[in-house]
Parts: sequence; C-alpha cells; structure tokens
Amino acid sequence: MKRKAISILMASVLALTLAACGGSTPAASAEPAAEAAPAEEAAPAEAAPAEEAAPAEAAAPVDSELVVGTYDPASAGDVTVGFGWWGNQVRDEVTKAATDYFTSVYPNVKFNLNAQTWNDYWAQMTSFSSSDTLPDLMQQDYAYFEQWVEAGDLLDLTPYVESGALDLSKLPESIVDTGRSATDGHIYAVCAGMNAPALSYNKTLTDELGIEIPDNMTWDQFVDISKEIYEKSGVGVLFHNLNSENPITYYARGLGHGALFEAEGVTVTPEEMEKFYQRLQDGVKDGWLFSTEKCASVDMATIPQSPLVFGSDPSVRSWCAFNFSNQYVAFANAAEADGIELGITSWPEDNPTKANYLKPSQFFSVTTDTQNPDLAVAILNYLINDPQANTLLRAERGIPANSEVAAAIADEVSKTDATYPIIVNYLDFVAENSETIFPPLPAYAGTVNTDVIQHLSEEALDPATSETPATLGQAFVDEANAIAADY
Amino acid sequence: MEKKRSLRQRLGDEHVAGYIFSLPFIIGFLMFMLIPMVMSLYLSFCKYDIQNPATFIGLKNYIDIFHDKSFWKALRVTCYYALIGTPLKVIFALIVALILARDTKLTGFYRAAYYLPSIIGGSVAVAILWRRMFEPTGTINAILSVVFPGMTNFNWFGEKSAIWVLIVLTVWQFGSSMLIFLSALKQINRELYEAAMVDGANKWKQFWKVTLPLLTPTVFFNLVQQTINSFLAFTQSKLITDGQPKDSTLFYTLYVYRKAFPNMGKSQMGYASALAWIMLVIISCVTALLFWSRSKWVYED
Amino acid sequence: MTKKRTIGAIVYHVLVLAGAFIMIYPLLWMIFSSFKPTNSVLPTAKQLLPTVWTLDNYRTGWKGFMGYTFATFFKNSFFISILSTFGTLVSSAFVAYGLQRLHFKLKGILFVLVLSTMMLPPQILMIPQYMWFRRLGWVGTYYPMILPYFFAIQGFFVYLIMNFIGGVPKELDEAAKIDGCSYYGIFFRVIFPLIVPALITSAIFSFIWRWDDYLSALLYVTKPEMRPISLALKLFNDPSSGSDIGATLAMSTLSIVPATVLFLIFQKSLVEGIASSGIKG
Repeated sequence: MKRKAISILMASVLALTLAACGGSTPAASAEPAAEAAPAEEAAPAEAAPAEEAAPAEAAAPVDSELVVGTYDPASAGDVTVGFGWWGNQVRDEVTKAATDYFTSVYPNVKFNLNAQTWNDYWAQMTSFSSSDTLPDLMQQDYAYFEQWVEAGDLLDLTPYVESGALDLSKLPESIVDTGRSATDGHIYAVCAGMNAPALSYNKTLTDELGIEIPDNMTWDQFVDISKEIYEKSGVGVLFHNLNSENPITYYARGLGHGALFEAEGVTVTPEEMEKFYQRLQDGVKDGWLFSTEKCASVDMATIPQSPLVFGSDPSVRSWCAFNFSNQYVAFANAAEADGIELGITSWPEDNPTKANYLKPSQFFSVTTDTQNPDLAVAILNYLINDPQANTLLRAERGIPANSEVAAAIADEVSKTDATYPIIVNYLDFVAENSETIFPPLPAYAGTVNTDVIQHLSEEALDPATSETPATLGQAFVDEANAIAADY
Repeated sequence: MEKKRSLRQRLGDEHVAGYIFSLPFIIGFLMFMLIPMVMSLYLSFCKYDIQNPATFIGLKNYIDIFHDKSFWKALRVTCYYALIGTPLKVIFALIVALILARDTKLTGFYRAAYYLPSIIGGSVAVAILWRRMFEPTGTINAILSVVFPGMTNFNWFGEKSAIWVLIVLTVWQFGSSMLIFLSALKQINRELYEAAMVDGANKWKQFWKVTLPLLTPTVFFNLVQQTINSFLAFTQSKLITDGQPKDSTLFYTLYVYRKAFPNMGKSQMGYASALAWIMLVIISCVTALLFWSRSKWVYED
Repeated sequence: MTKKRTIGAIVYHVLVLAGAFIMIYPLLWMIFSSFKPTNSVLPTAKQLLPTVWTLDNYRTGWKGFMGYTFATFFKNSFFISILSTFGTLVSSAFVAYGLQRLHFKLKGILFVLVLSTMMLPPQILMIPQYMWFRRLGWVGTYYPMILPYFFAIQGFFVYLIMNFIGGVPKELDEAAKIDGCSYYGIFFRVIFPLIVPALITSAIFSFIWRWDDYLSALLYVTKPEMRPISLALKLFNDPSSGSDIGATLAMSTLSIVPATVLFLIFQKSLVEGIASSGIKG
C-alpha cells in the first residue's frame, strides 16, 4: 500500500519534471527508463536487479521484448492468470495467440482462457461474481461496466495509470475517458478496440438501380432512397434490433442531446419520441420498413443469415444493415458468399455529424478477484500497447485505440484481412464527422432496453397497432423514467 | 418385539428397509434440492442482482408480478403450448407406436427413424433448420404453394402462427413417449387378445376394449411427463423465436431466464425466483389435477 | 388372401417409410449439409444432397478451440455422461423399489417429493445450487455434474422404474420371500434382472440428457480443456458474429453419433426385451 502511494506521488512528479532518465528502451515506447537501483520488493525477485524498479523509478518500463509497463511479469513466480471474454471462434484464436506469445516470453505465466457467447458470458460472469471467482482479466462492454463498477467487481486502474504501470498515453484522451466511471471519475476499463456506428449496404444492388448512397445521409434522404429501392426491387429495410437503445440514442444525439440516458432518466421529451415512432410507423405503412412480424421471420442475430446478405426472395432482403464497424468483416465475408459487394457509410440522421461517435467496441478490465493485480495490469498493458500482441489480435475487437500500434500493424493485418483499410478509412471519416460519445450508460439502461424499448418498437412496427406515435412516445418517457427512479 | 433385535432383524423390518431404499433420495433431496430451494424461496422475497448482497423486500416481487403484463402473457402462451402440444404429442406417439408394434424385418429401422428426432430435437442444428423450413421462402411454404396454389410466402413467424412452429417441433419429438408405449404394448398379454377374438371382437373393438384400457397407465405417465416438460420448455423458444413477435412465443421459463440473466442490464434474480416459485405452484396444481383424474380413467388391475 | 396381404404389407411399408423420411428429413439435412462447402449450406438449404462433397467442415470443426480438439470434448462428455448415468440407474432403481414395493410411514411424502423434483423449473435452482456447490468447493470440478446423480435426484427415472416394477407380478417377490430372501436380496436377485429393459430405457434418456446439458457445464466448468461437447457446440454457433455453420453441423452430426449408436444397439432389447425377460412369469 505504502509503496503504491509513493509510486503515485513520484509518478506525478516525474510526469511534471521529466527529471529521471534511464537506460532501457522497450519496443514501442521512446520514453527513457531509469537505471534502477535494487529495490526492497516484497515479491519473489527472479528478474535481474537492473530490471527491478525502486519506488522512485516506478514509472520506468521494464526492459522486456514485450510492452508490459513497469511491472516485471517474470517476478510473479509461477502463476495462472484467468482471462474471460465473449466472442466467436476467430476472437478465441487470436486472443489465444496473443496470450501464448506472452507465455513464450514469460514461461512462468500461464493463462486460463474462458471464451463464451455473449449471453452465456454474462450469465457465467455474474455467477462468478457472486462467488468471487472472476477471472483476473475480463472483457467488458460500454453498456455494462458501470454496473460492474457499482458492484465492486472491477479494479480501479487509476493508480496504475498514474504510476505508469498502465500506459494510456498513446490513446486519445476521449477514448481513455470512456473507461471512466461516472460515479468517481476513475478508470476501470481500457478500450480494447475502436468502432463506430456503421450502415453496411448492398452496393451491388444500389449500383444496379443507379442509386448513389451519400455519406452523412439525413433521415429524409434515407427514406427517399429506401422507398425508391423498395419500389424498384422489392427489397426493404431491417431496422435495428427491437430491444436496442442505439437508434434512440443516435436520434437523441442528432437533436442535440449528447446522451439518451442520464442518471435520473432519459433526456428526450415525449414529443421528440413521438416523431421517432412516427418515422417507424410511416416506414411500415409505406412498405419499405420491416414490420414486427417480418422482423420475427428473419434472422436478426446471426450475421451470415441476416437479410442484408441472406435470403432468396427480395421480400425478405434488406438493402442495408444497422451495425457497428467491427462487424463489417463478418458481413463482408457473408456478402462474398452471397455474391454481393458491400459499402459502408454512417447511419442516417438529421444532424449526422452531431449524432455519430467513435466508440470503444469492448473493454478490458482487471477484476477485484485477482490475486496478482500488478501482473494483470502488466498483461493489460501488453494487450493495449504491444505491437506484436495487436498483430496477433488482428484488430478483431476493433481498430486498436493506441494510434501508433494501429499504424504499426496495418500492413500485416491488411494482408489477410482486406476490410481492415476500409474500416480504418471509415473510422477516419467518423473522427472528422462526429462528436464525443455519450458517457457510459447508467446501470438501469439495460433494463429499459429489455423491458421498454422492445415492446414499444414492436408496437410501432406493427401495422395493426392501435397505439399512436404520441402514446408510444409518452409511454417511452414514462416507463424509462419509472425504471430509473426504481433502481 | 420389545426384545433387542439383531441388526439383521432390524434391516429386515419393512419400515427400516423402506427408509434404507429411500436413503439415496433422501440425502440427495436434502443436499441438492432442499437447501437450494430454501435459498431460492428466500431470494424470492428479496431484491437480488447476484452481484450485490440481497435486500429483503417482503412480498413486493409477488405483488409486482401480479401487475406484470409480461407475466400474464407468458403464462397464457405457456398454457396454450402445453394444452395443445402435449395431447397432440401423446396421441401421435400412441398412433405411431400402434403402427410400429407390428413385427417386420424393417421394424428396427422404423423405430430408430421415428425415435431419432427426439434425440436431436434439442440441438442447435435443429433450431437453425426449423427456422429455415418455416421462413417465408422456406421448404414448408414451397410445399404448400404446390398443394394450395395461390398460397405464397405465408409468414409462419407472425403473431398468431409462431407458436405453432414450436408446437409442431415438440410434436415431432414424440419418440420417447412412443418408446414407452411400445414397451407397454409388448407387455400386454397375448391371451387377452385371443380371448377377445373368441368373443368375436374385431381389431377396432380389440383396441378399444383391450389395448387402450391396458395402456391407460402408460398414457397417464406420458401425459404427466410431457405436460411438465411443456410447462418447462425453454430451449426451442429461446433458440428459434426468442419469444417474438410481440411476446407471442414467450415461454414462461424464457421469461424467468430473461429476468435472471438479461441480455442487458442487471439480473433480477429475486424477481425471477418469485416467478419460478409461482410456476412451481402452477405445475403442482396441474399435476395434482392429473393425479386426481387418474382414478376416473386409468385402468388398474 | 396372401395377395391381399402382400398388397397390405406394401402399402404399410410405403406409408411407414414415407413417414420415416419426413421424420428424419431434418437429420438427413444436417448430415448432408455437413458435407457441403460451408458457404453453400444456407443458400442451398432446400436441396438435400450436396452438389460438391467435402470433408472440410469436419477438418475445421475437429480443430476445436484454442488448441483443444473435439477429441478432448468428446472424452469429457463421455466421462461425465457415463458416470452420471451409472449413478442415476443404480440409485433410481434402488429408490424405486423401496417406493413401489415396501410400506413405510413417510412413503407418501417421499413419493410426492420425487414427483416434485420433476416439476422444478431448473432456473429456480441454478443460482442457489451454484452458491451451495461453491461452498462445497465444487466449482471448477466435475462433481456438480456427476455426484448428485448418485442420489436419485431425477424423479423422472425413479417414477419410470417404479412403473416398470409395478408391472412385475408381486408373486415373484412373495416366492422369493418364502425362499428366505431379504428385501435386499429380492431387489438384487429378482427385481434388478427383470427391470433391465427399464434400465436400458433410462440409460438412454439419462445419457442423452447429460450429453446435451450445457447449462451446468457453463456454470461449473472453468477451464477450456474440461469442456463437454454441448458447451463446445454452443460456442461454435455464436450469433453475435459470423459462425461457421458447416463446422457446426459437422460437429453436431458427430455429437449425436453416440446416442444414435446406443439406441441402435439397444433398441431391440429396449422394446422387446421386456416380453422375454420373464415379466409374464
């Protein structure tokens, strides 16, 4: 404890004065490291004394072929580190490759990898949370992590950032901030990769019909294009998942609300939401927007079977998909199987540059159940800042937030993944045409998704509904605020 | 009796033997059911999100459930599914068992073929296939458009029909009930048929007078088992329709699961526990009703 | 007469075969699709036979995850399913005999409790059971997936075997009793051999249920090398981003082989053994 406090203090002094200088230079950091004096470390020291950081030089990176920050993983002894994430086969492979590489350099560190699907992951992690057996490192989500901070499951990373054990200096400030908890402003999560809302569309179809899809479409432009496509080809539009707050958040941001959810309730007014639901009802009435029943008849969840890239009849096809840029790879693969080419642009909205945002696709967090916080942080540092790690991770979780790393791996990753430059391009475009992302969602937001948004969108998209957009708009605000108040 | 008895004598006592035979269950029930059940009963009176300690809130969960529209919807959906699906399944199983009771060289193959669906029915692959078959451009519609020209692209996943996609799936898996019927059919004493034949009963009469009465205990067993299964059905609804559209296929257990492990947001484990307890009461009542009716129609010798 | 019979037999076989085809069509679809190139599985879903046959799905699928092939997952599933099925059979038969044949005070209550275990929504017990097993130190081991089954906790099997024992004439018990058999002797020497068909039926059900169970694996298995096949398959079909449907189907096909083989071996004794096992006696 004492050592940590001193480290923090010294680190801030260092940062201000840049007084300390030193010898070793790790791969991706030009920062000079101190010639270290032997330390009074409590941990079993297997490493060479030169690599041992005395308290005063806590900010000096370890001399290693990996970028691990200031803690020497070799000094941890023989340990097994748990690492959990949700994902898919590709993500499993690349993450294993990155951790294997770590083990090859530090044979004393083994990993217990735990990969699940999204739903199973949260079911399992909440169980682990109840029994204090969470893995050392866990993947986190922007919508979720505040709730995990509240439960005291995530380790406060701020001291490690201040001590230099976790180097976030190469990440854009705005992205680092996305990992801060709204309650205390401390960092609990680090962006594992960046993405942005993206509209993937069937370029083959739009080219055939001679329709140009502009970037930064307004909603009316989008409606006109969708109508035209629908009339000419019978292909419609599948909107967002019915239980998703994304379209409403995006809409709210376009109206100038920075966020949809605030601590006490939602920012939008019933009148604003009336207009939102009016859009949906009009779309269904005009035929181009998938109705509730049609949504149920298509696969909304599995990319290779989604209506953008799958379906033998125009009536079950959608010319575009509302998704995020890191999913573009999977869509592009599925599109290739379907024989179509995809394009990518921003979601339509009236003020698209206000609405759009760059977002951490996922986070990595260290849990409070860890026995080796220093080691876990060092591994986290490796995953975020090490070029070799990120080459192995293949930007599967989104473009690395560390811009130097993102540039360093571009050639290597593009070799096997042709969509990498397209996505980087699109993110560059979004960076120019967006505003800062909304703060992490308050813990009640997830319940609003499942308990409110789902059934209201089902009503709005039901042509036989008896509800008017006005009642739906009012219901949204009332029900969401009631949940917020009850939490 | 008052004299000391040897261990052997004690063990030979019918009461003692009864408890010894029941011992595995008694231990198992206490260890693996009762303790967790008591915990879950307690949780049903709590606000509990798994991650934070539970706080006691009395009857609030139960009161809230009473006003919860989704609860009533899920209950309706589940009853509809159980009341239609179960009898259909049992009747199908019985009919096919009667057909396959005949011994031919191919009987083994037939039984395997009709039984296999119940082995693979719960798998992910079947869920995928089922969606493909019933989607607007799928196999089912393709066949229907040949039989009924003009019927094109019917949306099976509409609000009224989606539940039927799941009912068909459960009926399709009648294999295990069929097997139990087959075993029971083999147990029927041939002499009874011979006696009936002597009395001049034709096949049809034999079925109603001999086969069916003797099968009623098996029908009962299958009915109880399948009714409970229907009330607890989960996987198909989760994988194939996920409760959609408009909660028209929201099975009760799926609703419980969603509350306990939501896709997003905090777990409402306390609420889910209360929901599960209500389900337990409902299933108990239905089962009790079935057992009460047992004496009315089940043939006992 | 014979001619009529032959025609009748032909009609019978044609109809039953047609029904069988409809019944196993999905199964055939799964098997044949697993030999299609993975990206043509869904576009050609209506077509049963592959145009191009390939074993690629089996090759890619078998590789599994993160260095563990399906051989590992199969081994784990066999281990769990066989042990837990064994436990279920022995304990359920033991308890079933007591509840069916013996008279003792708490019998009625115990019977109701047995039935009630069939009615419990599994979700109700999931978390409390988890918390309890964690206290026992069982999380991360196979114990929660095996040991409870040695205590007849599945009412279904107790009830099923009870029904079969009910079909065994009581005179057999009486005769054995007169010969000096204790209740235990009756159970092991008389009843047990006679209920073999019921045990086989139970074994098949139990094996399949344990084989398919992934919820408890999800909660209790913390290491990838300990995963059973159900959990591995679930991971194969991840909806949130691309999944390899060909490999999923290939591994699904392999995963149902044990249950199918088991059934094919035992189906004769399963259905017909009852008649010849002396129950008529």
